[in-house]
Amino acid sequence: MKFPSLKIYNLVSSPKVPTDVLWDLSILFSILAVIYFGAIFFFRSKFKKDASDTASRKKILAPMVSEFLFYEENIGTKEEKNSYINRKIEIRELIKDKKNEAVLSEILLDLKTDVSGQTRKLLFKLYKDLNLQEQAFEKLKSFRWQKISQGMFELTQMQVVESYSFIRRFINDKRSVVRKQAEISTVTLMHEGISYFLDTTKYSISEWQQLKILEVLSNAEYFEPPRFYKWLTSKNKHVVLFALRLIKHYDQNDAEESIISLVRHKNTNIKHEAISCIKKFNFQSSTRTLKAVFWKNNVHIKLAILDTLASFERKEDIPFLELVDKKESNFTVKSKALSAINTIWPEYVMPTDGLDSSILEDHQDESFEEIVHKADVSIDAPDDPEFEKPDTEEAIEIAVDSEPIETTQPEVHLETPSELLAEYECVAHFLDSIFVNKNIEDKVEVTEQESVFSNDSINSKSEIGTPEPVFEVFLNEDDAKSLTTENSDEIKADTSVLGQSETIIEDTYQSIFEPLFNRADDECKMLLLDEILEIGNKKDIPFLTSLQNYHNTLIRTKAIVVKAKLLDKFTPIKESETLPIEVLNLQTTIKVEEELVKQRVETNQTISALPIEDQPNLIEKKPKDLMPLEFCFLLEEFDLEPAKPLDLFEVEFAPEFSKDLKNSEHSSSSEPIGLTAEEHTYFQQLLEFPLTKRKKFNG
Amino acid sequence: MSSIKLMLADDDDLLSALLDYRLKKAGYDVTVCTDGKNVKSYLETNRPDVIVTDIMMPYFSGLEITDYVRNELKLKIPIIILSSAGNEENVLSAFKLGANDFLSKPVSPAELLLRLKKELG
Repeated sequence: MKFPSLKIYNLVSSPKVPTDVLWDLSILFSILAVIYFGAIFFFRSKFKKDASDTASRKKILAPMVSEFLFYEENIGTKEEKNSYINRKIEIRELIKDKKNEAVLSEILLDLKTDVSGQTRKLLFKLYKDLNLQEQAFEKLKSFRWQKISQGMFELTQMQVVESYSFIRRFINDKRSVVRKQAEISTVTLMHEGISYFLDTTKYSISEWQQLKILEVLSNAEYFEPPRFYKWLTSKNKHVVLFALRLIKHYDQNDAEESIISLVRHKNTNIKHEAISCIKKFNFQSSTRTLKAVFWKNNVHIKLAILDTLASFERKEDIPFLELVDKKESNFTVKSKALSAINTIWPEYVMPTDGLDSSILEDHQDESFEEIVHKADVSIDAPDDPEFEKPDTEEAIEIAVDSEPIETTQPEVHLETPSELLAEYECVAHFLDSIFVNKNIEDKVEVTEQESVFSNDSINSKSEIGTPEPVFEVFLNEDDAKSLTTENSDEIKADTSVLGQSETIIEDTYQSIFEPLFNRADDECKMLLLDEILEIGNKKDIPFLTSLQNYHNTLIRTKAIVVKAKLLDKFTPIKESETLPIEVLNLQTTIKVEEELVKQRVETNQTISALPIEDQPNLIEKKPKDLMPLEFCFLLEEFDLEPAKPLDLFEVEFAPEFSKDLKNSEHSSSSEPIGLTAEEHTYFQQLLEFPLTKRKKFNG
Repeated sequence: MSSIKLMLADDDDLLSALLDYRLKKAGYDVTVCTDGKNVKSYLETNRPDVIVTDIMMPYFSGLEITDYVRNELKLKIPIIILSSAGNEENVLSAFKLGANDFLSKPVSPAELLLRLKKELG
């Protein structure tokens, strides 16, 4: 019997490797290791030797350089002069050696960074005197990019202006390092280098490179910058961008039209830079272009445009900014628009988000109390010496300012809570009912507030706090009766204005769904639209209208459907449906105004001081004459007459007699039935007795 | 008249050689130290009339040397700081530690001579 373990043992046995190959490999790797370490040692020692050689050369050359730099021809003695000449010969001999020449160049380049002033100038002079630039020019002919760059750098550092024409040829070199060094060198060596560079460059100019060139230009002595607007028409967009930046840097505001036109450039960076220039130079003529391109740009450009418009501080731009706030979906842009409005008109928009509602309620209470207090003061107005109670005999004078509402005046965009508005509405009605004897001017105030609040508008567009009289009408007593017809022209003129303001107010309804909608995703937005259809009201219609331009087709379509349904829901079918909104508004305001005028006429009507008896219609039953209803039913049930008020002098007769007497009273004939004329006279005197007595008693 | 003893501390050989030449030409008795350790050892045995030192040096910085001179050796000799790092922090630190003057690199040898003259009266 065989055991399977043996097979397993065979499988894990070591492979057969020829030991000769192993030995060969070991020897090979050993040799490679020796070569590797040998190479390291060799190059290390070589570099060390070179470094020490350079250091020793530097030690020889550095004092010579110092001597050359600080040699003063006029002050020096003869010995010094001889020493200087000998040194010059010596150094010329030394630099015949390429290594010495390289070391000397290195020394001068190092010293250039350490010294300034006259010493530096002497350094440049020495470099040229020793013809060290020849070596740098040789480097420019090299095929190696690092050599070329080194040569250009050296020539630039030592300010060899003669090399300018050689270096500028590398501006459009394929190798980016060479090209960038050539750009810097060209700009550094000659003042016109920047013009040549901007004219000829075909490649992109990196941000870093732009900064470097800008630094070079900033440090250049006696540099007179060219007019950079010349490069705004360049085919190279990087040149255009850089030119814009240079224009901004050097405050060259002589290219207004070109810069404004660049706002329409396809390149975002150029657009941004152009807007930045516009802002800096306050090119207010660009407003139309900025507004025109606003909607087609990304968020960053939009923000830049809003920032620029804010910097212009033109009140004419506020409607546009409000439109941006209304239509823009991006939160940042909306915020920026509001910020811009407040920059133009401080505190035009008040903060609403994140406010403590409880504090707001307290504030509401205060305002409400204040208004009620004002109402109280108005009721007590007769005590006020300034308050004149209208005399019924005098002509009624209704003084209303004829100035129309200034529609062009920027409107207050108040985010007033609906509760506060409801209270305002109540107070407005309250004041309307109380101010019976008040001037019609006050009425107009209230009416104006009503027109603002009657539709539960949240965003008030008019200045609620300071209502201005709308028009001025002087009415006599007679005129007052025919006010609606005679002064209809004036009223119409005014109502048109009121209609406008109402339209504006309607447009600014803020739906309670709007903030939720703005924060929701598309799915939630669809759900919200369903909710609007179910529980929405008129206030949601403007919001739905604003969604007609929404980017999502589904949401847009649904918004249109919901709006149509809501309109059906809230708009009763009548003839006014066929009329345009403006006409409807006008009609509404005219009706309101007519009602108001009628009310005013009624309240200020003259009431003649006639006796009460002569006005039977006006006399009503006094409460004391009235009886409880149950008692009336009882009397009716038992067929009884109600008792007359107790009279001390009234004589009570027997029921039979009283009945006969009553019948005699109801009878058409003057003589009672069954009585003679004497009897009747007697009884008549008897009946009249209490009356005569009473008259005597009363005197 | 004995020449003014000046200690120049800078690890940049080229600049120290250049300044050494210029200062010697101006009549100063210049001693060049290339690191902080040399400076300390020199100061233990010698008392220069003025010190010109770089900030960035091996072993001890120019600020440490200033602190050493002012607080340990209690010397009131003029100290002029040379530095390529002429930021506000360095300048303030140098003056707080008791430096008399501060020169930013690249330095003008002519300016250095004038400042030395001013410090030495």
